[in-house]
Amino acid sequence: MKEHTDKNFENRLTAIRDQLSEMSAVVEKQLSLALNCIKSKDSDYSITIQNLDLQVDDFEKAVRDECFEVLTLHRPVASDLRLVFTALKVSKEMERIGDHCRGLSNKAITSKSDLDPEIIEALSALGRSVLSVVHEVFDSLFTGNIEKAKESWRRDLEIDKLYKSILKTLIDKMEKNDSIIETGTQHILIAKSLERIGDHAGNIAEEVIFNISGQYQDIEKIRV
Amino acid sequence: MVDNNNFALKTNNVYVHYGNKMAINNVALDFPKNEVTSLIGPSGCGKSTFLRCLNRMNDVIDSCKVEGSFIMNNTIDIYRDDLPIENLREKIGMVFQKPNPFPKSIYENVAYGPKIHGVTSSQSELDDLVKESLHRAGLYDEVKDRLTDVATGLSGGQQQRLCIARAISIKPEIILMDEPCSALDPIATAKIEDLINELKENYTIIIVTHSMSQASRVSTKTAFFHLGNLIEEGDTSKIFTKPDKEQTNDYITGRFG
Ligand SMILES: Nc1ncnc2c1ncn2[C@@H]1O[C@H](COP(=O)(O)OP(=O)(O)OP(=O)(O)O)[C@@H](O)[C@H]1O
Ligand SMILES: [Mg+2]
Repeated sequence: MKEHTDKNFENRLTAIRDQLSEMSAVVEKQLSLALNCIKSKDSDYSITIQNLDLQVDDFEKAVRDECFEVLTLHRPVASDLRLVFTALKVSKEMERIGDHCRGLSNKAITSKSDLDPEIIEALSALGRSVLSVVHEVFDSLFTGNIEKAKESWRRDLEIDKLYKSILKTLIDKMEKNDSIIETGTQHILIAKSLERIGDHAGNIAEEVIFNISGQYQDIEKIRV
Repeated sequence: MVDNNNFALKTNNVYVHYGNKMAINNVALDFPKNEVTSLIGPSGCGKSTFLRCLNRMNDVIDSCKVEGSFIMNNTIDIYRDDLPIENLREKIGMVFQKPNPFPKSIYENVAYGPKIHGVTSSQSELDDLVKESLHRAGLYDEVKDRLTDVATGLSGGQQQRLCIARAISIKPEIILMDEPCSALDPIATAKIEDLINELKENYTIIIVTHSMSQASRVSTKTAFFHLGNLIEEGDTSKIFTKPDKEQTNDYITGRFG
């Protein structure tokens, strides 16, 4: 694609892309720190995540304002309009991922006792899967790779499967031993947060597909 | 399958030369009935040349050679030798970039066409037709008390609506418009665009415009020309959301490189 003849417009679109890209890096960092919390319960990680969340919120506002200005002043169409539309929606999803990271790290470090290593390992595996999907979908956004976006969306199934199996294991354990109900519930909520992050990644994939193809697609069609 | 009857005009294999210089290169474009099609593209890409082929306005330019097929309502070859040009112009009217009322009264400007084409049979019928045409063009209320005033005393926007009234007074099927708003302010432009929207109920409209926003507002179909070639055509919403060709995207987003 050529550059805009109107340099001011070009610069604004570049700014939106850059902000989104920096925002995605911060969110990815939040997520990987949150995964560390599950394993080590180190409250330093949690504090860093809270601080990064302030940055994420600022990025979301900056993207929103920049998009609004571009819509008002430049009346974007076609690829430019799709970029603005995508940026607005994706930044919202990123911000939600950030919130989940904050929430789940809090739960991880405040959970009263440790669960057995089997559960921690299963949660970590779910976390790794979610992180890799999030990474893949961000990558698809910035490289404009529609196949990658579709693939990341398909992997929602893998996340769901891991989540359900953790849920089942925890419920079984809690049935057998009611002293772990409180901690077990905390861990269910952590797993739920990870699963929700996967959903947000799926929403981003949907937007990336629209951004590239100009059409929204059904997940069902993408799965086959 | 596409219903052929839904096209007011179909063109195919169109080539236009001015002397040795090619201005239109193998264009095929069909115009759906009762819809607005806009022709967009950079200056000199051949929009006006192509538009003028559609009612044989290029015939008067000696150096201009037009080839290809132009079929109206699936039956009438508009370049057929035995088709009187007046009959064609009765079916396909034109509105130009610069409003060009005759230096006569407002009434006469509208009445002229119906008179020479024998559209009406009595004075009162003619009066009614003039009134109706002015009404349709959204001008009647502004000029009803001064129909005998000279038309050139109207504002630019009023003159343009008068020209539209003149074009529709002979009840054409197709109206061609070549940048009809380029000399008008936003209010006059909005009035003409609103009028185009209403007119499409009864007419097929083909409009050349340099304003992307105008093309997206008024037309249901958009055709993008570049250096005499038709690069892409399609639903206006598709063209302005996700055109198939990068060249189209570059042009409509303002990447003129
Ligand atoms: N009467 C003419 N004699 C010779 N060449 C002509 C004539 N009219 C147009 N041309 C040439 O044909 C090409 C297409 O011109 P045309 O007027 O159709 O372009 P256009 O797309 O309408 O441009 P614009 O947006 O500036 O009105 C141009 O290269 C132009 O110079
Ligand atoms: Mg022209």
